[in-house]
Amino acid sequence: MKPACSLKRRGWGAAVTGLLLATIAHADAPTPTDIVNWLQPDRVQQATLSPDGRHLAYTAHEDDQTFIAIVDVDDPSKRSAVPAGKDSIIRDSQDHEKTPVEIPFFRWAASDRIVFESRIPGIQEVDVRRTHEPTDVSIVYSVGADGKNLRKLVDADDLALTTITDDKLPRQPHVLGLASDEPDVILVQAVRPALDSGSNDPSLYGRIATGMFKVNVRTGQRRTVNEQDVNGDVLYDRQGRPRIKLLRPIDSATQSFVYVPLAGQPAAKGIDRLVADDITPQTYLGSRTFPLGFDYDPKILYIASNVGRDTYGIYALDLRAGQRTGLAVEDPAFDLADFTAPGNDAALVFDRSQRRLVGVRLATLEDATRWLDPEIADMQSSLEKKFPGRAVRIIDWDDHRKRFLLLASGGADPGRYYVFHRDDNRLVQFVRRTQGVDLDATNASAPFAFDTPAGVHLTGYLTQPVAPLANPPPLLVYCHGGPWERSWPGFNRDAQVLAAMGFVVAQVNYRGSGGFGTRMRETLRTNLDGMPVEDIRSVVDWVAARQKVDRKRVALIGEGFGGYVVLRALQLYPDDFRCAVAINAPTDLETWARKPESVQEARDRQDTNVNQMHAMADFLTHFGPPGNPLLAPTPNPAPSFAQDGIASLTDDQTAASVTAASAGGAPAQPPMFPPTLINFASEFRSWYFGTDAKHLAEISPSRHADLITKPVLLIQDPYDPSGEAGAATALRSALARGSNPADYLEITNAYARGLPNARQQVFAKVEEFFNLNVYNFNVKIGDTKVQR
Amino acid sequence: MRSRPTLHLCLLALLCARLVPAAVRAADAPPERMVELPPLMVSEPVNGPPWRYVAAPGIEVLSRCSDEVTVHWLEEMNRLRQSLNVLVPDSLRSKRAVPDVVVLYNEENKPVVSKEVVADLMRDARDRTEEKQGRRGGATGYRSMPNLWLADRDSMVFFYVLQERGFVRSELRLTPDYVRYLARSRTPAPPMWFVEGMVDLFSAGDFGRDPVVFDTVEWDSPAATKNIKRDVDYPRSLLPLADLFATWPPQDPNGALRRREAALFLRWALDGKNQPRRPALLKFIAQASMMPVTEDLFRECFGLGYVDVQERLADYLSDATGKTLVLIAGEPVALPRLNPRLATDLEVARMKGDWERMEISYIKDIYPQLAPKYAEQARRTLMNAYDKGERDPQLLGMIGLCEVDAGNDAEARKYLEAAVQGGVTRPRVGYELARLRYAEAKAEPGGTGGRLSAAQATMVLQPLLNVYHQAPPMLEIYALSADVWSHSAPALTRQNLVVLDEGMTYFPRNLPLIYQAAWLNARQGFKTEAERIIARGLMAGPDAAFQQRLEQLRASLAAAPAAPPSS
Repeated sequence: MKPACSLKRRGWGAAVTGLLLATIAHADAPTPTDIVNWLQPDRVQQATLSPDGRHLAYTAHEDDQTFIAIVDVDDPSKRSAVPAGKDSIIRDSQDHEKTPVEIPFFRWAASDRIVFESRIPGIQEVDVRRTHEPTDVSIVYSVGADGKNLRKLVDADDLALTTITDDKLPRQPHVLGLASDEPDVILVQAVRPALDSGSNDPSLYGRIATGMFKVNVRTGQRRTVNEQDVNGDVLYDRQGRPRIKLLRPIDSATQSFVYVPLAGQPAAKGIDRLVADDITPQTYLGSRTFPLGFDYDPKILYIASNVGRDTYGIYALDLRAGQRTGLAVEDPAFDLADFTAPGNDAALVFDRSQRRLVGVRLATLEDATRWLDPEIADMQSSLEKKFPGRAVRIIDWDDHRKRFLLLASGGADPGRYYVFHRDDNRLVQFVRRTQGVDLDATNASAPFAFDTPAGVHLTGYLTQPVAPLANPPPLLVYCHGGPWERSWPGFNRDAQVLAAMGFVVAQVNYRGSGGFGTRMRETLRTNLDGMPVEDIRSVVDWVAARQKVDRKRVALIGEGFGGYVVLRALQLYPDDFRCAVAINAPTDLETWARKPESVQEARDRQDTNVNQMHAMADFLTHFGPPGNPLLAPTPNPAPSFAQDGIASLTDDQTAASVTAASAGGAPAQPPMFPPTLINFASEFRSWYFGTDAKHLAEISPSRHADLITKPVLLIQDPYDPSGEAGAATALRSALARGSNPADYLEITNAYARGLPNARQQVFAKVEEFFNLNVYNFNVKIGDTKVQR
Repeated sequence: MRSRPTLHLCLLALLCARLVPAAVRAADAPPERMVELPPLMVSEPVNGPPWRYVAAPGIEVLSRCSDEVTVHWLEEMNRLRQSLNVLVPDSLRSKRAVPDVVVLYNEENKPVVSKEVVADLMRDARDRTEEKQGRRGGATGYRSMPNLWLADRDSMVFFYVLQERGFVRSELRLTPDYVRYLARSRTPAPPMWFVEGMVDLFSAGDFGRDPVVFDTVEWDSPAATKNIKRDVDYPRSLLPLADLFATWPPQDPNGALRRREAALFLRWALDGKNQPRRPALLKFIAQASMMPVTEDLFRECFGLGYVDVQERLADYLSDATGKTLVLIAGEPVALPRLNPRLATDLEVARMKGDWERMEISYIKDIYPQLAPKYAEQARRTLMNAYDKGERDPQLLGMIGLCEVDAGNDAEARKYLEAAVQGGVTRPRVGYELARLRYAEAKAEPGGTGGRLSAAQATMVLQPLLNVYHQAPPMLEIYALSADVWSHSAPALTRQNLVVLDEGMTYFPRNLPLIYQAAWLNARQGFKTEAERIIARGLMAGPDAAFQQRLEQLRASLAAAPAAPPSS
C-alpha cells in the first residue's frame, strides 16, 4: 500500500478504515477518548463575584455531577462545594446518555448568600399536556458564602395549582432575578406548560398559567405577587409586576404585545406601538420593535428596534412620557438584540449597587461590551491590554469596584476566570472553563471579515490546525443552519474537532445569516441556493489567497439549511469541492416548505388526536341520565383535565383562593376537538421559502441527485424536534439508485442536545468519511491471501 | 569618565570563619609599625610559597596553591562555566578580549583580611547557607566561586581563597551574583527580566552534577504551592507577559512575583522533551536585547501570543510545583593540558597589580581617604616589573589605568601612549588615551568656530581604531567618537558613521547615542539613515523629552539640522 501523496495520518475511524490505513497511521494518533474530551461541555459554565468582593462562586460539572463551588478570594484554600444535581437520562429518550443539570439562575442575593436554580432536564413526565414529552424539573436553592446552610427555597410542588378535581398541577419555578424593592428577595415565576389537547375549552389551548412569587432567600418564606393566564408569555418588571403580555394565539400566526399599565398610572397614548410591533411571518425578519426588559426604575423599559435602520439597536422607553430617552446603543454592522427572543434582557448589564444600566453586551464578531459607565469602560480598556488577542468579558465587580471578575477567552483557549485586584494591579487566575485541554493541541481561531469582489461583506471564523496532516492542509467550510442563525464567537468545540482532523476550518456567515442586519437576512430569499454557494466559494478564494490550503481538497459540512447549502454547492460546482457532509439537511425544499411539519410535530399531532379520542370516549362513557350512564357509571363527571376556572388575578389575589372559588363544578361538557394549531415556525418557513413549487423543486438536491457526483455523507435525526431538518431519505434513496450512493448515519436528538458521546459518534463517522474522501490515500487492496 | 569597578562580596563559606584580622606593613610606614589593614585590602605573609602561573582559554591563574589543587580548581571552574550553558549560553554572556584573571590563594597561608571584610563575607555566607538549607533540606558545605571579584569596564579579576587541605572540587559552586554579572554585562545588555529570572532559576539548580536538577517551584506561599501542585484549578497570581517584559519599575510592589514569573517563564521555555522551545527563547532574548519587546516579536519567536504563553505558564505551574526540572549540561569541552609553572615577575605584577588597581575605584567611594594607600600599593606592584625593564603593552596599559583610577591623568598619559603604540589589547586603554587627547585638543581647538580641526579629530580618535572591535564593546568609546565628530569641522563619510551604527547595535537603548548618531547623519546630509535612526530612537524608549527632540530633528531634516547635541 502506498499513499498517493505524502501525508501524515491520524485517525480513529471505524475498524475497516483503520485496517486499510493501518500502515500509514501516525504513532500518536488521537483516540476516540480524545474526541470525547473535546466535546465535553465546559466544566465551569458561569461565575459570579459577591457584592463585597470576598467570595467567588462558580458552577462546575465533574463526574456526572454539577456543583456550586465557592472560594474565598483572599484565601483560596477556604473553599466549599455544594451539590446542585446529578446528570440524568431523559425519560423516553432514544439514547441512554446522561444530560447534565442546568443552572439557569446563579447570583449572589447578598454578600453572604447565593441563590441558584437547578434544572434537571427531562426527568419528569407531566401529564398536563397529555403528551409523552418529558419535562425539566427545577428547584431553587440558596446557600451561605461559607457553603453552609443550603436551603431549598422552592420547587414545582410548592407552586402547584389545584384543579377543580383537586389534582395537583406542579409548576416549575424559574428565577427571574432579585426583587428591586426588597432585600434578600428573589422573583420566581411559576409556569404551567401550555395545553395542546385534552381540554373542553378551546380558549385554553396554548395558554399558560404563570404565577409570580417573591421568595426570601434566607427563610424560604414565599408569597404570591400575582397570577396570569395568557396565551403566550408575560414580561415582569423588577418588582414582579406583569407589565407586558406577549400573546401567541394558537390559531393565528400573528403574535402581539399588550402593555399593562400600573395601577393608577394610565398608559401613555400609543404606548403599545412604542413597546412593540406585532410579529407575523412576514415581519419576523424585518423591521420591528420588541421589548427586552425593565430598568430598576419601573417606568423605563428597554427595547430593541430596527425600525428605520438596518440593524437592531437598543433604546430606553420612558413609559410615563410615552417616548424614548436619549439612550441609543447601535452598531451599523451588527444586530445588538436577538430578534428571536423578545423579553430577553441578557444583553443588558446592570450595576447592582448603583441600580442602573452600565453596559450592553454586543453580539459582534467577538465577545464585546459597550460600556455606558466610563469607569468600567476604562477598566475594560486596561484589562484588554493585559490580554492582547483575547476577548475580555467583565462579568462582575464588587460594590466598591475594587475587584473585578472577568473571563478571558479566545485564541486556542476555552476561557479562564480571573479576579483583578484594582488596588495592587494584581491578576489572579481562579478557574478555567475547561479542564483536560492541552493548549499545545488546541487549534487557534480568529474571526475574519472581508468584502468579496462583488461587494458582499462576509464574516466568519477561521480555525487553524495545530497539527495539519498534509501540507498544504485541506480546507473545510462549515455552514450553520437557519439560514437566519449564525456562527458565534468563542471557543467552538466542533471547529476544534474538525481542525484536529487536519483541516483549516472556515465557519462562514453566508448571506441570510442572522445578526448582521435586515438586508443580510432578507436578501437570501431572492436566491436561496445561489447566494450561499457563491459565498462559500468566495470564502474559499479569500482563504486560499492568504494562506496555503490545498484547493484540491476543499470539503464542506453543514447543518440544517447549511446542510442543504453544501449539497447544492456540490451539485453546482462539483469541481470545486471534494465531498460534503450534510447534517439534518432538508434535501427537498419543495416538500419541506409545503409540509413544514417535522416528524416529531407529526407525532405530536397524532398524539393530540389520540388524546382527544380518549377524552371523547370518557365523555361518552359518562353520558346519559344521572345515575344511568349509557356506557358505564362514573363518580366524576368532570373532564379528565380542566382548569377552566383559572383567570387573570389581581395582585391581591392568590392562586389558591381563585382555584377554590372556581371549584364549584361545571356541568360536564363534551370535549372539544382542538383548534387547528398554527405553528409559527412552520408558517414562517413556508413564507420564507415561498410557494413556487416548481422553483423549489428545481433547487432541491434530491430532485437532481444525478448532479451529485462527489461523495456525500448524510447524517439524519429522523425525529429532529426542531422542525428544521428535512428528510434526508429522499436524497439518500435517489443517490442509492445511481452510481454514487451516499454514506449515511442515523442519529438521535442527543446530538442536537450536545451530549458528548452522541457527538463523538457523529464526528467519528465524519472523520472516517473525510479520511477516505479528502485525504484519499488511494489505498488498493490486493486479493485476500490465506495464511496457513 | 572614570571606570567604576564593581565589588561583589560573595559567599566565602566556612573558610572565612578562620580568617583573622591582622595587620600588614603599609608601604610608607616604618618597617616596625603595624598598620591596621583597610577594608578589603588583602595581604600575605612575606615568606609564602612562590606564585604559580597557569593559563587556559579565556582565563589566567596566579596561584599560591599546589599545582594539583590549582588544576582541579581550574577544571572545575571550566566545568561549572560550561554547565551554565543550560541557562546562559555563551552567546548571552559577556565577552572580554582580556582573559579573566584569578588570584588563587591557599587559606593556610594565612592571608590577612580586615574585620569588615570578614564580617561582610560571613554575613553573606550565613544568609546564603540558610537559604540553601531551606531549599535543600539542610545540605551544607558548598563553596562558592569566585568568592571575591572585581570588574572593570573591560576585565575581571577574581580573588579566591580556598582551604587546600580537604579541598573537594565537587563542593565548588558559582555564585548567583557572578552569574548575574555574566549576563548583565553582556552587550547588548539582555533585558532585566531575563537576568533576574535566570538568576532566580540558577539559584534553584544544583550545578554540582550533570544533569543539572532544578528544585520544584514555590509559588505565592508554601500552602498555596501545595494546593497548586494537587489542584490544577487552584488560584494563582501571574503578571501579564506584557508587564513582565516591560521596563521593571524601581519601586515595584510586585517585584518578587515579577522575578518568580521571569524564572517560571525561562523554566517553561527550557522544559520539555528535547527542549523544543529553547531555540525560540534564545532568539527572543537576543532580539529583546536589541529592541523593545513587542508581542509581534514574541510571536515571531515562539509562534504564540503573550496570553497563549501566560495561560501555558498558569497550567505549567502545577507541573513546576511538583516536578524538578532536569537539564543535561553534557560533557564539558576539556581544557588543554594544564602545566602550572613558576610565575614571572611580569605575570605577578600584571595579575596581582590589576587586582589592586581595581580596588582603587571601589575604595574611593566608601573610604576616599584611603584611596591613596590603595593606589600606592597597586602602583608598587605594577612598577615592580616595570622597574625591572618590562615594557609589555598590557603592563603599560595597566599602569596607565592605575594612574587614571588614582586621579593622575597627567602621569597616566605616557603609559597609555606607550601601551597603544605597543598594540595593547584592552579597550579601556584606548578609550582613556583618546579621552585625554580630546581634553587636550578641546583646550586649543584648531578648527573654525571653536571646533576641532581634522588633524585634531584624527589624532583624538586614533587610539580607538584598534579597540572598536575588541570585546567588550564600551559605550564610552562610541559616545566619545560621536562627541568628537559633533565638535569637529571636517565632513564625515557614511563609512565613518558606520561606527555609530555598530554602537547603537551594542547599546540600543542609549538615547543620547541614538540622538547623536541621528544628528550627525542629518548634518552630513544622510537623510535616509537619519530617518532610520530617528525611527529607531522613537521605538527605543518611553522618554517623552527625548522623543520630542527626535521629532524636532526629524522636522528639521528638510532644512538645516538643529543645534549640535550637548556633550
